[in-house]
Amino acid sequence: MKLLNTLREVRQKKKMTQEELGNAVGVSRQTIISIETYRYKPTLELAMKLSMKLKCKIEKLFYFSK
Amino acid sequence: MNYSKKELSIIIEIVFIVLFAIFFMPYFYENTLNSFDFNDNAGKMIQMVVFPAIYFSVAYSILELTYKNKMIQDERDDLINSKSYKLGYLLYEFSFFLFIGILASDSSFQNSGPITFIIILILLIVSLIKSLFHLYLYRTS
Repeated sequence: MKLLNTLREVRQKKKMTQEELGNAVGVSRQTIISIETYRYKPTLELAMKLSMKLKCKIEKLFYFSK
Repeated sequence: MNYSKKELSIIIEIVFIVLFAIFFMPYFYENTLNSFDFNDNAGKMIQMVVFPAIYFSVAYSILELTYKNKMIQDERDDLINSKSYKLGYLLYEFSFFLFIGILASDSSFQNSGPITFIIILILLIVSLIKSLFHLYLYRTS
């Protein structure tokens, strides 16, 4: 099972840039890029911060491939 | 290709290592047969202290002027740092063992006993501190 995410889609829907989202949750733009391109798996703390900031349920933001 | 401020600061370090090797290593290579005396090499030693100070202050000043935004230290940086430090630690440990091997096998190194003892002692202390910290992290995490 691979951990996937809808971060890019949700972020774009909210009209936020990677930089803005990164600043809002206290990480760099590069970290947001790495999560969106599946090169980095965020900690639960960061995942929850992203979920809160984007007002999207964490299980919709991060999910396992079947 | 775009590089972040952090990546550029690492490139500055890499360039420094290459420049140091180009400018200073030939001098040490030429003097491999001589015993190293600080008084005879004071000029070179001063250069070796002054060069990094000037290089890093100039390079980081240019970097700060070019990239005005502040560097954010986040969890990804911590993970990347711990991976690179782990590799660095293993390489240092390996190089110490290699050095002990060279000391033991090369007859030109006279009185290598005390040096070997000091290196092994340092290795033991470092390994002990590492294991104690490892245990502490497991107990507290």
